[in-house]
Amino acid sequence: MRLAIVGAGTMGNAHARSCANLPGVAVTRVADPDAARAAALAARLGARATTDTEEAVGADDVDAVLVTTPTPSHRPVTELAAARGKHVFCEKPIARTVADGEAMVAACARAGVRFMVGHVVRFFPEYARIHALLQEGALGEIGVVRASRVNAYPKASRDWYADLAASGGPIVDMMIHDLDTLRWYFGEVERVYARGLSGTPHQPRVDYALAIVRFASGPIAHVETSWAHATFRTAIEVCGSLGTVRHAGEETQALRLERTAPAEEARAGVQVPASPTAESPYQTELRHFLEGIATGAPFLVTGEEAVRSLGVALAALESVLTGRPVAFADGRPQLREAH
Amino acid sequence: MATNEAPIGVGILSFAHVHAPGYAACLRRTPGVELAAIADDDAARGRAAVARFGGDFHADYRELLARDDIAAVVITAPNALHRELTLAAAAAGKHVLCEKPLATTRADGLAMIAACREAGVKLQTAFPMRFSAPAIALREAVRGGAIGTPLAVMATNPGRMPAGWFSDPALAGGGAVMDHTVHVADLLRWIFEREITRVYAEIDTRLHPGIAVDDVAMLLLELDGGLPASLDPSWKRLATWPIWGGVTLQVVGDRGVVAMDAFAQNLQHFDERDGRYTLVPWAGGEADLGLVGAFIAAVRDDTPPPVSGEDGLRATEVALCAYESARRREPVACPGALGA
Repeated sequence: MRLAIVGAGTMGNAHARSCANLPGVAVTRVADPDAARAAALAARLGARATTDTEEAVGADDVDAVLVTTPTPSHRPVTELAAARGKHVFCEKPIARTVADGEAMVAACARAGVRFMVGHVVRFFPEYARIHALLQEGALGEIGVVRASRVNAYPKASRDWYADLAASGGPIVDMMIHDLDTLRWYFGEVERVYARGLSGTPHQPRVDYALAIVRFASGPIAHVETSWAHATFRTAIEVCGSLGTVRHAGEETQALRLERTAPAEEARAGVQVPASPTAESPYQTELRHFLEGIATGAPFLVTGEEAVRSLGVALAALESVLTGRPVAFADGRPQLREAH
Repeated sequence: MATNEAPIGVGILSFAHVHAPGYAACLRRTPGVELAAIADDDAARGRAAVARFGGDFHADYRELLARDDIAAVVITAPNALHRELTLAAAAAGKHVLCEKPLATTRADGLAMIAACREAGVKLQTAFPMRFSAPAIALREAVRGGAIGTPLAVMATNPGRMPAGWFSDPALAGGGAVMDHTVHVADLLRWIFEREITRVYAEIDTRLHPGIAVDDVAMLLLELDGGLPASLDPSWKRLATWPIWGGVTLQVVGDRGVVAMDAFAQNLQHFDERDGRYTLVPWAGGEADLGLVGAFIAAVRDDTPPPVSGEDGLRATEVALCAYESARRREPVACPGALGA
């Protein structure tokens, strides 16, 4: 399988590492508007670098495209790839608007190419294990759920993350991980109410949101998402009538590194994963994509699924901005504005 | 306290509430207090209580209230009986420390406050969290500017479903929301010195099939000025959970985050004898003792109690508004949604 990576930022590099570990995979093209960034990643992979997205996705030596650009360009890159008959793996969120997401799904269907969206939390073993327990009915009737995902304010590409119109802020960029996972667990949403700092004067320096999500199947979920903390961590607790499961990231850290070297020197060191596993969830996710293309098996996260999860995130964002709950009909939010 | 001062006689009206033994033990430990009598309509429960904590037993609380050697009462009856007992105590000239929630309706709470004011007796609501060392430290950190301007709050007060009358709507006035909203509502008002003005809630019965009250809920409150605060009051802790429940409160500010877990100070006990894993608190006893001590001090010194009847009513209104919000499926103004 020959891949083009479009977007040589954080996620482009993350997927490149997985590609290097997977047999039968070659990255042949890397595209990024920053020529130096494209060249650096391409050199590590033995690929050809370009600043021209069309050249990369249209190349004959490309079977599938990994779309790892900022959210607003997911749609044009995906449509371009589909038009050239390439399968598409697109990072989450699928798009900034439901209309864009639906257009991407339609474009891939029209072109007859496979389309998967990178909701990677479904491939994290702790979250997948909870899904398996729920499928078994091991927890009985589910009452309340708490999911949390906190981080420092994204600094690397601060400008685009801080631009609510482009990124959707922490709700559309990060809370969507938990919203998608909860939809995977419990099905469609009935109602969302959320409060937070998106749209307030604090947003460029600190952003934070709390959402209450009511599922049509009954469970009540609380979701916390933060760009106001100092370090990244996740947690989830599912409370049922027959049992409780909880995961707290800081408690399952299998490797902890404390260096006494001066701060700058310590920071320059190798990145050490806090919870190393035999295969990273990102690699499991990419393997799932590649195997799905090879075998024709359905993807765990289809474009349609990703559009539904985006709808929940947009409902939460609208609720923060308006102070009103957002109701759903048949899994689709009744939004007041076209987001 | 002068050594020649007579001890303050205190009576306990009902041992129906699970917190009654804790308050009785605190009264015994508080200098200048005599636990003079316990009244309970359940004679076996009342007699067991006096056997354990001392004092006389009265099957009829009116006998207890008629005693001249009793100046104050602790009311730990089922929630819906708080009004009758408080009004009777006030009429008898006894000061009142009333278990939370203060009442099950706004009208009852208002009547209790008015009766105590007119009778010239103290009315204190039992909010022991104001005397919890971690909660005091959290309040000092927030008010001292440790995290800058507070921007959002996330709180939990989960617990086990209590047995007996707690799941009888007529006596309890509600379930988990009535039982577990008020502690955090009061902490929020106390930490930020602002009223809770809007309430949203999702409420249901899902973990204990067949009970007539709610056992799960999520609340999203707004304090005056727009500060949001979420609260999970669910009775979601099952028998296998290693401790009764807890109270947590995290405040996000523009310069940092501070998080309190008021019941984190535990030993992990892996007990081979019964095959159980439990968390064994090694701190926290100061909260109930501080609550009872503050009430006794207010009675002795004739000063306003540090937690008033109004404080109890405000917190109860938040719980009542949560039920109203869940009915309407939208946020409601607090306490405006409750009517006049």
